[in-house]
Amino acid sequence: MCSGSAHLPSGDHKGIVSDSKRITDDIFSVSIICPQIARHSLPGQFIMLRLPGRTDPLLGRPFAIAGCSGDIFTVIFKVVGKMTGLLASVMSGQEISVRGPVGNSFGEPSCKTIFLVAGTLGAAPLLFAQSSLGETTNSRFILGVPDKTWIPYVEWIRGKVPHMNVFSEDGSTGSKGNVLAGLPRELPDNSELWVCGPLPMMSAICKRFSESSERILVSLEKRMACGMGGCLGCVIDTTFGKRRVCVDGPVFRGSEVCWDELS
Amino acid sequence: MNCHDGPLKTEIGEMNLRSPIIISSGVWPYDRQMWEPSALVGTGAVCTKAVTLMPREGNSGIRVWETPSGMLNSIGLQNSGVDSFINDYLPVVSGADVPFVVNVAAERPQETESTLRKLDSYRDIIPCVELNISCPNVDGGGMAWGMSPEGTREVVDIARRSWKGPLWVKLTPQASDIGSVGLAAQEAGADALVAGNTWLGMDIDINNAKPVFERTFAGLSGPSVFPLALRVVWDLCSVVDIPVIGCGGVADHRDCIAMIMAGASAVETGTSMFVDLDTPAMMCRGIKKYLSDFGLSCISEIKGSARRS
Repeated sequence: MCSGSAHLPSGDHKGIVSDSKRITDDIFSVSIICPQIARHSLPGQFIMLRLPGRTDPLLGRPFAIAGCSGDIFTVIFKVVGKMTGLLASVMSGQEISVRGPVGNSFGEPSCKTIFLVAGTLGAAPLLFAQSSLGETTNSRFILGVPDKTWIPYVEWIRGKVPHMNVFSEDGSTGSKGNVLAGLPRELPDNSELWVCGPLPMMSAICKRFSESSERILVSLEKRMACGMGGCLGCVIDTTFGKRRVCVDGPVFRGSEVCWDELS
Repeated sequence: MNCHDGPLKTEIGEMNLRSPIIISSGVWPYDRQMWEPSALVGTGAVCTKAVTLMPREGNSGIRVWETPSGMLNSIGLQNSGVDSFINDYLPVVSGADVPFVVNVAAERPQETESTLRKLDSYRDIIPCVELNISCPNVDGGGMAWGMSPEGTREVVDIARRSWKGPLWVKLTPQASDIGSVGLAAQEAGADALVAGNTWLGMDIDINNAKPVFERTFAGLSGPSVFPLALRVVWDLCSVVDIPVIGCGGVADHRDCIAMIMAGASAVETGTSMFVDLDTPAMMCRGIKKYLSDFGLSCISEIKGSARRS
Protein backbone atom coordinates (compact mmCIF):
# COMPACT_ATOMS: atom_id res chain seq x y z
CA MET A 1 0.00 0.00 0.00
CA CYS A 2 2.90 2.30 0.88
CA SER A 3 4.42 2.35 -2.54
CA GLY A 4 1.40 4.01 -4.14
CA SER A 5 0.86 7.71 -4.63
CA ALA A 6 -0.62 9.90 -1.91
CA HIS A 7 -4.39 10.37 -1.69
CA LEU A 8 -5.09 13.99 -0.89
CA PRO A 9 -8.52 15.45 -0.15
CA SER A 10 -10.45 16.96 -3.03
CA GLY A 11 -11.03 20.00 -0.83
CA ASP A 12 -13.01 21.44 2.06
CA HIS A 13 -16.71 20.93 1.57
CA LYS A 14 -19.86 22.18 3.21
CA GLY A 15 -21.85 19.48 4.93
CA ILE A 16 -25.28 19.62 6.54
CA VAL A 17 -26.12 17.34 9.45
CA SER A 18 -29.07 15.18 8.47
CA ASP A 19 -29.34 12.93 11.50
CA SER A 20 -27.72 12.21 14.85
CA LYS A 21 -28.33 9.10 16.96
CA ARG A 22 -27.20 8.21 20.46
CA ILE A 23 -26.13 4.56 20.39
CA THR A 24 -24.85 4.26 23.97
CA ASP A 25 -24.34 6.83 26.72
CA ASP A 26 -21.29 8.17 24.92
CA ILE A 27 -21.30 6.66 21.42
CA PHE A 28 -23.07 8.47 18.60
CA SER A 29 -23.63 8.18 14.89
CA VAL A 30 -23.96 11.33 12.82
CA SER A 31 -25.06 11.41 9.20
CA ILE A 32 -24.07 14.33 7.02
CA ILE A 33 -25.33 15.48 3.63
CA CYS A 34 -22.27 16.11 1.48
CA PRO A 35 -22.31 14.69 -2.04
CA GLN A 36 -18.62 15.47 -2.61
CA ILE A 37 -17.85 12.92 0.09
CA ALA A 38 -20.74 10.49 -0.09
CA ARG A 39 -20.53 9.96 -3.84
CA HIS A 40 -16.74 9.78 -4.10
CA SER A 41 -15.51 7.90 -1.05
CA LEU A 42 -14.05 4.42 -0.88
CA PRO A 43 -14.06 2.07 2.11
CA GLY A 44 -11.08 2.90 4.32
CA GLN A 45 -11.02 6.60 3.52
CA PHE A 46 -11.76 9.20 6.18
CA ILE A 47 -12.80 12.82 6.55
CA MET A 48 -11.78 15.70 8.81
CA LEU A 49 -14.79 17.29 10.53
CA ARG A 50 -14.69 20.85 11.82
CA LEU A 51 -17.30 23.14 13.28
CA PRO A 52 -17.22 26.33 11.19
CA GLY A 53 -16.88 29.68 12.89
CA ARG A 54 -15.13 28.28 15.96
CA THR A 55 -11.49 28.66 16.90
CA ASP A 56 -11.80 26.27 19.86
CA PRO A 57 -11.66 23.52 18.83
CA LEU A 58 -9.63 24.92 15.97
CA LEU A 59 -8.58 22.00 13.83
CA GLY A 60 -10.59 19.32 12.10
CA ARG A 61 -10.71 15.83 13.57
CA PRO A 62 -10.37 12.63 11.55
CA PHE A 63 -13.27 10.19 11.40
CA ALA A 64 -13.51 7.02 9.35
CA ILE A 65 -16.40 6.93 6.92
CA ALA A 66 -18.77 4.25 8.22
CA GLY A 67 -21.04 4.23 5.21
CA CYS A 68 -22.42 6.20 2.29
CA SER A 69 -25.90 6.32 0.85
CA GLY A 70 -26.84 8.74 -1.91
CA ASP A 71 -25.61 12.18 -0.83
CA ILE A 72 -25.21 11.17 2.83
CA PHE A 73 -22.27 9.68 4.68
CA THR A 74 -22.14 8.50 8.27
CA VAL A 75 -19.53 8.56 11.02
CA ILE A 76 -19.59 6.93 14.44
CA PHE A 77 -17.65 8.15 17.44
CA LYS A 78 -17.25 8.00 21.19
CA VAL A 79 -17.16 11.22 23.19
CA VAL A 80 -13.56 11.57 24.33
CA GLY A 81 -12.89 15.31 24.21
CA LYS A 82 -14.06 18.78 23.32
CA MET A 83 -14.75 18.17 19.63
CA THR A 84 -16.58 14.88 20.04
CA GLY A 85 -18.56 16.45 22.89
CA LEU A 86 -19.73 19.18 20.54
CA LEU A 87 -20.39 16.72 17.73
CA ALA A 88 -22.61 14.72 20.07
CA SER A 89 -24.96 17.67 20.30
CA VAL A 90 -25.16 18.70 16.63
CA MET A 91 -28.66 19.24 15.31
CA SER A 92 -30.21 18.37 11.98
CA GLY A 93 -29.63 21.19 9.53
CA GLN A 94 -26.45 22.36 11.23
CA GLU A 95 -23.57 23.21 8.93
CA ILE A 96 -20.33 21.36 9.33
CA SER A 97 -17.03 21.60 7.46
CA VAL A 98 -15.80 18.42 5.82
CA ARG A 99 -12.30 17.92 4.42
CA GLY A 100 -11.97 14.85 2.30
CA PRO A 101 -12.22 12.20 1.23
CA VAL A 102 -8.71 11.60 2.57
CA GLY A 103 -6.41 8.64 2.24
CA ASN A 104 -6.25 5.36 0.40
CA SER A 105 -8.75 2.54 0.77
CA PHE A 106 -8.88 -1.17 1.39
CA GLY A 107 -9.10 -1.57 -2.37
CA GLU A 108 -10.59 -4.51 -4.19
CA PRO A 109 -10.39 -7.85 -2.39
CA SER A 110 -7.49 -9.90 -3.70
CA CYS A 111 -8.71 -13.12 -2.04
CA LYS A 112 -11.96 -15.03 -2.00
CA THR A 113 -12.48 -14.75 1.77
CA ILE A 114 -12.14 -11.56 3.78
CA PHE A 115 -12.06 -11.54 7.57
CA LEU A 116 -13.20 -8.09 8.72
CA VAL A 117 -11.83 -7.73 12.24
CA ALA A 118 -12.99 -4.75 14.31
CA GLY A 119 -12.08 -3.61 17.77
CA THR A 120 -14.70 -1.27 19.30
CA LEU A 121 -15.08 1.83 17.09
CA GLY A 122 -12.74 0.29 14.51
CA ALA A 123 -15.92 -1.19 13.10
CA ALA A 124 -16.60 2.10 11.29
CA PRO A 125 -14.48 1.68 8.12
CA LEU A 126 -15.18 -2.06 8.09
CA LEU A 127 -18.94 -1.47 7.99
CA PHE A 128 -18.39 0.59 4.86
CA ALA A 129 -16.12 -2.13 3.47
CA GLN A 130 -18.63 -4.88 4.27
CA SER A 131 -21.39 -3.03 2.45
CA SER A 132 -19.18 -2.66 -0.61
CA LEU A 133 -18.06 -6.27 -1.00
CA GLY A 134 -19.50 -8.11 -3.98
CA GLU A 135 -21.44 -11.35 -3.75
CA THR A 136 -18.48 -13.39 -4.95
CA THR A 137 -16.51 -12.51 -1.82
CA ASN A 138 -17.03 -14.48 1.38
CA SER A 139 -16.80 -12.19 4.35
CA ARG A 140 -16.72 -12.82 8.09
CA PHE A 141 -17.22 -9.86 10.40
CA ILE A 142 -15.69 -10.17 13.88
CA LEU A 143 -16.22 -7.50 16.53
CA GLY A 144 -14.51 -7.22 19.89
CA VAL A 145 -15.62 -4.98 22.78
CA PRO A 146 -14.50 -4.66 26.40
CA ASP A 147 -17.66 -5.00 28.47
CA LYS A 148 -21.43 -4.79 28.85
CA THR A 149 -21.55 -1.02 28.41
CA TRP A 150 -20.94 -1.70 24.72
CA ILE A 151 -23.96 -4.00 24.27
CA PRO A 152 -26.21 -1.33 22.64
CA TYR A 153 -23.35 -0.57 20.26
CA VAL A 154 -22.94 -4.26 19.43
CA GLU A 155 -26.65 -4.52 18.71
CA TRP A 156 -26.49 -1.39 16.51
CA ILE A 157 -23.69 -3.00 14.48
CA ARG A 158 -25.61 -6.28 14.38
CA GLY A 159 -28.46 -4.42 12.75
CA LYS A 160 -26.13 -3.83 9.81
CA VAL A 161 -24.16 -7.10 9.94
CA PRO A 162 -26.56 -9.76 11.31
CA HIS A 163 -24.15 -12.71 11.12
CA MET A 164 -21.11 -11.26 12.82
CA ASN A 165 -19.12 -12.94 15.61
CA VAL A 166 -18.86 -10.94 18.81
CA PHE A 167 -16.29 -11.20 21.57
CA SER A 168 -16.30 -9.34 24.86
CA GLU A 169 -13.61 -9.35 27.48
CA ASP A 170 -16.12 -9.80 30.32
CA GLY A 171 -18.29 -12.30 28.46
CA SER A 172 -21.35 -10.07 28.71
CA THR A 173 -22.08 -10.31 24.99
CA GLY A 174 -21.02 -12.90 22.44
CA SER A 175 -18.14 -15.16 23.42
CA LYS A 176 -15.78 -14.32 26.25
CA GLY A 177 -12.34 -13.29 25.01
CA ASN A 178 -10.90 -11.11 22.31
CA VAL A 179 -11.12 -11.15 18.53
CA LEU A 180 -8.05 -13.37 18.22
CA ALA A 181 -10.22 -16.22 19.53
CA GLY A 182 -12.46 -15.78 16.51
CA LEU A 183 -9.65 -16.23 14.02
CA PRO A 184 -8.17 -19.49 12.73
CA ARG A 185 -4.74 -20.58 13.97
CA GLU A 186 -3.31 -19.97 10.53
CA LEU A 187 -4.62 -17.68 7.84
CA PRO A 188 -6.21 -19.98 5.23
CA ASP A 189 -5.06 -19.80 1.64
CA ASN A 190 -6.99 -17.37 -0.53
CA SER A 191 -8.05 -15.25 2.44
CA GLU A 192 -7.03 -11.93 3.91
CA LEU A 193 -7.66 -9.87 7.02
CA TRP A 194 -8.91 -6.29 7.04
CA VAL A 195 -8.40 -4.94 10.53
CA CYS A 196 -9.23 -1.75 12.41
CA GLY A 197 -9.17 -1.21 16.14
CA PRO A 198 -6.90 -0.40 19.06
CA LEU A 199 -3.20 -0.54 18.28
CA PRO A 200 -2.41 -3.48 20.60
CA MET A 201 -5.13 -5.53 18.88
CA MET A 202 -3.82 -4.81 15.40
CA SER A 203 -0.24 -5.42 16.47
CA ALA A 204 -1.17 -8.74 18.11
CA ILE A 205 -3.00 -9.90 14.98
CA CYS A 206 -0.04 -9.04 12.75
CA LYS A 207 2.34 -10.87 15.09
CA ARG A 208 0.11 -13.94 15.23
CA PHE A 209 -0.05 -14.11 11.45
CA SER A 210 3.46 -12.81 10.85
CA GLU A 211 4.04 -15.42 8.13
CA SER A 212 1.11 -14.00 6.18
CA SER A 213 1.17 -10.35 7.25
CA GLU A 214 1.30 -9.20 3.64
CA ARG A 215 -2.30 -10.47 3.49
CA ILE A 216 -3.33 -8.25 6.40
CA LEU A 217 -4.57 -4.72 5.81
CA VAL A 218 -4.67 -2.49 8.88
CA SER A 219 -6.38 0.89 9.08
CA LEU A 220 -4.32 3.12 11.37
CA GLU A 221 -5.21 6.22 13.33
CA LYS A 222 -2.73 8.86 14.45
CA ARG A 223 -3.00 12.34 15.87
CA MET A 224 -2.92 14.80 12.93
CA ALA A 225 -3.41 18.52 12.34
CA CYS A 226 -4.18 18.85 8.66
CA GLY A 227 -5.37 15.71 6.87
CA MET A 228 -3.67 16.87 3.67
CA GLY A 229 -0.13 15.57 4.09
CA GLY A 230 1.38 18.88 5.12
CA CYS A 231 1.94 18.94 8.86
CA LEU A 232 3.80 15.61 9.17
CA GLY A 233 2.17 15.15 12.55
CA CYS A 234 0.91 11.65 11.74
CA VAL A 235 4.11 10.13 10.37
CA ILE A 236 4.91 6.49 11.16
CA ASP A 237 7.88 4.24 10.42
CA THR A 238 7.32 1.64 7.73
CA THR A 239 9.54 -0.70 5.77
CA PHE A 240 9.35 1.98 3.03
CA GLY A 241 10.58 4.67 5.45
CA LYS A 242 8.56 7.46 7.01
CA ARG A 243 4.96 7.57 5.79
CA ARG A 244 2.03 9.87 6.53
CA VAL A 245 -0.97 8.04 7.95
CA CYS A 246 -3.32 10.63 6.46
CA VAL A 247 -2.49 10.54 2.75
CA ASP A 248 -0.08 7.59 2.37
CA GLY A 249 -2.47 5.50 4.51
CA PRO A 250 -4.53 5.10 6.58
CA VAL A 251 -4.60 1.54 5.23
CA PHE A 252 -1.24 -0.22 5.33
CA ARG A 253 -0.17 -3.81 4.87
CA GLY A 254 0.60 -5.37 8.23
CA SER A 255 3.99 -6.39 6.86
CA GLU A 256 4.88 -2.75 6.12
CA VAL A 257 4.27 -1.30 9.58
CA CYS A 258 7.15 -1.11 12.08
CA TRP A 259 4.94 -2.08 15.00
CA ASP A 260 7.64 -1.72 17.66
CA GLU A 261 8.08 1.96 16.72
CA LEU A 262 4.39 2.75 17.09
CA SER A 263 3.22 4.06 20.43
CA MET B 1 3.89 49.28 -6.35
CA ASN B 2 1.44 51.16 -8.51
CA CYS B 3 -2.26 50.74 -7.76
CA HIS B 4 -2.81 50.18 -11.49
CA ASP B 5 -1.24 46.73 -11.02
CA GLY B 6 -4.29 45.62 -9.03
CA PRO B 7 -5.53 46.09 -5.49
CA LEU B 8 -3.62 43.18 -4.00
CA LYS B 9 -0.34 43.31 -5.91
CA THR B 10 2.52 43.19 -3.44
CA GLU B 11 6.17 44.01 -3.79
CA ILE B 12 8.80 42.54 -1.49
CA GLY B 13 12.17 43.74 -2.72
CA GLU B 14 12.65 42.25 -6.18
CA MET B 15 9.66 39.94 -5.82
CA ASN B 16 6.27 40.84 -7.18
CA LEU B 17 3.39 38.86 -5.74
CA ARG B 18 -0.20 38.77 -6.95
CA SER B 19 -1.42 38.95 -3.35
CA PRO B 20 0.10 39.57 0.10
CA ILE B 21 -0.93 36.12 1.34
CA ILE B 22 2.03 33.76 1.66
CA ILE B 23 1.71 30.18 2.91
CA SER B 24 4.29 29.80 5.65
CA SER B 25 6.88 27.07 5.93
CA GLY B 26 5.99 23.73 7.48
CA VAL B 27 2.51 23.60 6.05
CA TRP B 28 2.31 22.81 2.37
CA PRO B 29 3.09 19.27 1.14
CA TYR B 30 5.13 18.62 -1.99
CA ASP B 31 2.42 16.46 -3.54
CA ARG B 32 1.88 17.74 -7.06
CA GLN B 33 -1.89 18.17 -6.64
CA MET B 34 -1.29 20.85 -4.02
CA TRP B 35 0.76 22.97 -6.45
CA GLU B 36 -1.91 23.08 -9.12
CA PRO B 37 -3.44 26.55 -9.72
CA SER B 38 -6.78 25.42 -8.29
CA ALA B 39 -5.13 24.64 -4.95
CA LEU B 40 -3.43 28.03 -4.68
CA VAL B 41 -6.20 30.49 -5.45
CA GLY B 42 -5.47 33.79 -3.73
CA THR B 43 -2.00 32.72 -2.67
CA GLY B 44 0.85 35.15 -3.37
CA ALA B 45 3.71 32.74 -2.66
CA VAL B 46 4.39 29.44 -0.90
CA CYS B 47 7.25 28.74 1.48
CA THR B 48 8.51 25.18 1.32
CA LYS B 49 8.93 22.98 4.33
CA ALA B 50 12.33 23.47 5.94
CA VAL B 51 15.25 22.19 3.89
CA THR B 52 18.43 21.12 5.69
CA LEU B 53 21.78 19.97 4.36
CA MET B 54 21.29 16.36 5.40
CA PRO B 55 18.02 14.41 5.79
CA ARG B 56 16.30 14.73 9.15
CA GLU B 57 14.04 12.08 10.63
CA GLY B 58 12.11 14.56 12.73
CA ASN B 59 11.05 14.13 16.32
CA SER B 60 9.58 11.02 17.91
CA GLY B 61 6.53 10.93 20.14
CA ILE B 62 3.53 13.20 19.81
CA ARG B 63 4.14 15.85 17.16
CA VAL B 64 0.99 17.95 17.17
CA TRP B 65 -1.29 18.97 20.03
CA GLU B 66 -4.24 21.32 19.94
CA THR B 67 -4.47 24.14 22.48
CA PRO B 68 -7.24 26.73 23.00
CA SER B 69 -7.43 28.54 19.63
CA GLY B 70 -4.03 27.23 18.64
CA MET B 71 -1.74 24.27 18.29
CA LEU B 72 1.68 23.15 19.44
CA ASN B 73 3.98 21.32 17.06
CA SER B 74 7.20 19.45 17.50
CA ILE B 75 7.83 18.03 14.03
CA GLY B 76 11.59 18.48 14.19
CA LEU B 77 12.15 19.77 10.63
CA GLN B 78 11.62 16.32 9.10
CA ASN B 79 12.88 16.54 5.52
CA SER B 80 14.88 14.52 3.06
CA GLY B 81 17.78 16.98 2.69
CA VAL B 82 18.76 19.58 0.13
CA ASP B 83 19.90 17.11 -2.55
CA SER B 84 16.55 15.35 -2.43
CA PHE B 85 14.79 18.71 -2.50
CA ILE B 86 16.62 19.67 -5.67
CA ASN B 87 16.06 16.32 -7.38
CA ASP B 88 12.59 15.36 -6.19
CA TYR B 89 10.68 18.48 -5.23
CA LEU B 90 12.17 21.44 -7.11
CA PRO B 91 10.56 20.21 -10.37
CA VAL B 92 7.17 20.18 -8.61
CA VAL B 93 7.30 23.54 -6.86
CA SER B 94 8.89 25.35 -9.78
CA GLY B 95 5.93 24.34 -11.95
CA ALA B 96 3.43 26.25 -9.85
CA ASP B 97 1.86 29.50 -11.03
CA VAL B 98 3.00 31.32 -7.88
CA PRO B 99 6.54 31.93 -6.64
CA PHE B 100 7.95 29.56 -4.05
CA VAL B 101 10.35 30.41 -1.27
CA VAL B 102 12.82 27.78 -0.11
CA ASN B 103 12.92 27.72 3.68
CA VAL B 104 16.42 26.78 4.86
CA ALA B 105 17.40 25.72 8.38
CA ALA B 106 20.89 24.96 9.66
CA GLU B 107 22.54 24.32 12.99
CA ARG B 108 26.15 25.05 11.97
CA PRO B 109 27.80 27.78 9.86
CA GLN B 110 29.13 25.16 7.44
CA GLU B 111 25.64 23.69 7.00
CA THR B 112 24.24 27.11 6.20
CA GLU B 113 26.91 27.74 3.60
CA SER B 114 26.78 24.29 1.99
CA THR B 115 22.98 24.21 1.77
CA LEU B 116 22.76 27.67 0.26
CA ARG B 117 25.60 27.13 -2.22
CA LYS B 118 23.78 24.08 -3.54
CA LEU B 119 20.60 26.12 -3.92
CA ASP B 120 22.53 28.99 -5.49
CA SER B 121 23.34 26.70 -8.41
CA TYR B 122 19.62 26.80 -9.20
CA ARG B 123 19.18 30.54 -8.69
CA ASP B 124 17.61 30.89 -12.11
CA ILE B 125 14.59 28.86 -10.97
CA ILE B 126 14.54 29.51 -7.20
CA PRO B 127 12.88 32.90 -6.67
CA CYS B 128 13.80 33.37 -3.01
CA VAL B 129 15.28 31.79 0.11
CA GLU B 130 13.89 32.21 3.62
CA LEU B 131 16.49 31.56 6.30
CA ASN B 132 15.06 30.13 9.52
CA ILE B 133 17.21 31.43 12.37
CA SER B 134 15.15 29.83 15.15
CA CYS B 135 17.38 26.74 14.98
CA PRO B 136 20.00 26.22 17.67
CA ASN B 137 23.53 27.32 16.78
CA VAL B 138 25.22 24.09 17.83
CA ASP B 139 28.78 25.44 17.58
CA GLY B 140 27.79 28.61 19.39
CA GLY B 141 26.50 27.08 22.61
CA GLY B 142 23.13 25.84 21.42
CA MET B 143 21.17 29.07 21.64
CA ALA B 144 19.11 29.85 18.56
CA TRP B 145 20.91 32.09 16.07
CA GLY B 146 18.09 34.58 16.17
CA MET B 147 18.12 35.12 19.92
CA SER B 148 20.90 37.70 19.70
CA PRO B 149 22.05 40.34 17.20
CA GLU B 150 25.51 38.72 17.14
CA GLY B 151 24.20 35.24 16.25
CA THR B 152 21.86 36.75 13.69
CA ARG B 153 24.62 38.80 12.06
CA GLU B 154 26.89 35.74 11.88
CA VAL B 155 24.43 33.43 10.17
CA VAL B 156 22.89 36.03 7.85
CA ASP B 157 26.36 37.12 6.76
CA ILE B 158 27.19 33.52 5.82
CA ALA B 159 23.87 33.16 4.03
CA ARG B 160 24.31 36.41 2.14
CA ARG B 161 27.70 35.29 0.82
CA SER B 162 26.40 31.84 -0.14
CA TRP B 163 23.08 32.72 -1.80
CA LYS B 164 22.95 35.62 -4.25
CA GLY B 165 19.20 35.78 -4.80
CA PRO B 166 16.50 37.41 -2.64
CA LEU B 167 17.04 36.49 1.00
CA TRP B 168 14.33 36.65 3.65
CA VAL B 169 15.29 36.06 7.26
CA LYS B 170 12.66 34.45 9.49
CA LEU B 171 13.18 35.74 13.00
CA THR B 172 12.30 34.06 16.26
CA PRO B 173 9.79 35.94 18.40
CA GLN B 174 11.62 34.58 21.45
CA ALA B 175 14.35 37.22 20.96
CA SER B 176 14.20 39.72 23.82
CA ASP B 177 15.15 42.67 21.62
CA ILE B 178 13.56 41.98 18.25
CA GLY B 179 14.49 45.41 16.93
CA SER B 180 18.22 44.86 17.43
CA VAL B 181 18.00 41.40 15.90
CA GLY B 182 16.13 42.78 12.91
CA LEU B 183 18.67 45.54 12.43
CA ALA B 184 21.49 42.99 12.59
CA ALA B 185 19.82 40.93 9.87
CA GLN B 186 19.28 44.05 7.75
CA GLU B 187 22.89 45.15 8.13
CA ALA B 188 24.12 41.66 7.20
CA GLY B 189 22.24 41.81 3.92
CA ALA B 190 18.72 40.47 4.42
CA ASP B 191 16.29 41.66 1.76
CA ALA B 192 13.23 41.18 3.98
CA LEU B 193 12.36 39.97 7.46
CA VAL B 194 9.67 37.51 8.43
CA ALA B 195 8.35 38.23 11.91
CA GLY B 196 8.24 35.72 13.27
CA ASN B 197 8.09 32.00 13.94
CA THR B 198 6.15 29.86 16.43
CA TRP B 199 6.27 30.71 20.14
CA LEU B 200 7.78 28.23 22.55
CA GLY B 201 5.15 26.61 24.67
CA MET B 202 4.31 23.30 26.27
CA ASP B 203 1.54 21.22 27.73
CA ILE B 204 1.40 18.50 30.34
CA ASP B 205 -0.56 15.27 30.13
CA ILE B 206 -2.10 15.38 33.59
CA ASN B 207 -3.13 11.71 33.43
CA ASN B 208 0.52 10.68 33.14
CA ALA B 209 2.08 13.68 34.91
CA LYS B 210 4.47 14.15 31.99
CA PRO B 211 5.04 16.79 29.33
CA VAL B 212 3.07 15.99 26.19
CA PHE B 213 6.13 16.32 23.97
CA GLU B 214 9.29 14.24 24.27
CA ARG B 215 11.32 17.44 23.84
CA THR B 216 9.11 19.17 26.45
CA PHE B 217 8.76 22.43 24.52
CA ALA B 218 7.02 22.89 21.19
CA GLY B 219 6.05 25.70 18.85
CA LEU B 220 2.73 27.46 19.43
CA SER B 221 0.80 28.83 16.45
CA GLY B 222 -2.76 29.72 15.52
CA PRO B 223 -5.13 32.58 16.34
CA SER B 224 -4.07 32.66 19.99
CA VAL B 225 -0.65 34.13 19.11
CA PHE B 226 -1.85 36.85 16.75
CA PRO B 227 -1.71 39.79 19.22
CA LEU B 228 1.82 38.75 20.21
CA ALA B 229 2.94 38.54 16.59
CA LEU B 230 1.35 41.89 15.74
CA ARG B 231 3.33 43.53 18.53
CA VAL B 232 6.56 42.03 17.16
CA VAL B 233 5.78 43.38 13.69
CA TRP B 234 4.98 46.80 15.14
CA ASP B 235 8.29 46.91 17.03
CA LEU B 236 10.29 45.70 14.08
CA CYS B 237 8.75 48.15 11.63
CA SER B 238 9.82 50.95 13.95
CA VAL B 239 13.49 50.28 13.32
CA VAL B 240 14.14 48.53 10.00
CA ASP B 241 13.89 49.87 6.45
CA ILE B 242 13.58 46.59 4.57
CA PRO B 243 10.17 44.93 4.05
CA VAL B 244 8.65 43.01 6.95
CA ILE B 245 6.34 40.04 6.49
CA GLY B 246 3.96 39.51 9.40
CA CYS B 247 3.61 35.93 10.56
CA GLY B 248 1.86 34.45 13.57
CA GLY B 249 -1.81 33.63 14.04
CA VAL B 250 -2.96 35.36 10.86
CA ALA B 251 -6.33 33.71 10.33
CA ASP B 252 -8.54 36.03 8.28
CA HIS B 253 -8.59 39.22 6.21
CA ARG B 254 -8.89 41.36 9.32
CA ASP B 255 -5.61 39.98 10.67
CA CYS B 256 -3.93 40.62 7.29
CA ILE B 257 -5.10 44.21 7.26
CA ALA B 258 -3.95 44.78 10.85
CA MET B 259 -0.50 43.41 10.05
CA ILE B 260 -0.21 45.67 7.01
CA MET B 261 -1.47 48.67 8.98
CA ALA B 262 1.30 47.93 11.51
CA GLY B 263 3.82 48.24 8.69
CA ALA B 264 4.06 44.77 7.19
CA SER B 265 4.31 44.42 3.41
CA ALA B 266 2.70 40.99 3.38
CA VAL B 267 1.68 38.18 5.72
CA GLU B 268 2.51 34.53 6.13
CA THR B 269 -0.19 32.15 7.30
CA GLY B 270 0.18 28.50 8.21
CA THR B 271 -2.16 27.02 10.78
CA SER B 272 -5.11 28.63 9.00
CA MET B 273 -4.38 26.36 6.02
CA PHE B 274 -4.82 23.34 8.27
CA VAL B 275 -8.20 24.79 9.21
CA ASP B 276 -9.48 25.79 5.77
CA LEU B 277 -7.84 25.29 2.39
CA ASP B 278 -9.78 28.23 1.01
CA THR B 279 -8.16 30.66 3.47
CA PRO B 280 -6.04 32.69 0.98
CA ALA B 281 -8.98 33.19 -1.36
CA MET B 282 -11.23 34.25 1.52
CA MET B 283 -8.56 36.64 2.79
CA CYS B 284 -8.23 38.22 -0.65
CA ARG B 285 -11.99 38.68 -0.97
CA GLY B 286 -12.12 40.23 2.49
CA ILE B 287 -9.25 42.64 1.82
CA LYS B 288 -10.76 43.73 -1.50
CA LYS B 289 -14.09 44.39 0.16
CA TYR B 290 -12.41 46.37 2.91
CA LEU B 291 -10.56 48.50 0.35
CA SER B 292 -13.76 49.06 -1.56
CA ASP B 293 -15.74 49.94 1.59
CA PHE B 294 -13.16 52.55 2.54
CA GLY B 295 -12.74 53.95 -0.95
CA LEU B 296 -9.17 52.72 -1.32
CA SER B 297 -7.53 51.43 -4.49
CA CYS B 298 -4.80 49.11 -3.26
CA ILE B 299 -3.25 47.72 -0.11
CA SER B 300 -0.17 49.91 -0.36
CA GLU B 301 -2.48 52.72 0.76
CA ILE B 302 -2.97 51.11 4.16
CA LYS B 303 0.63 50.01 4.73
CA GLY B 304 1.70 51.45 8.06
CA SER B 305 -1.46 53.52 8.31
CA ALA B 306 -1.94 52.70 11.99
CA ARG B 307 1.43 54.28 12.73
CA ARG B 308 0.54 57.68 11.31
CA SER B 309 -1.98 58.82 13.89
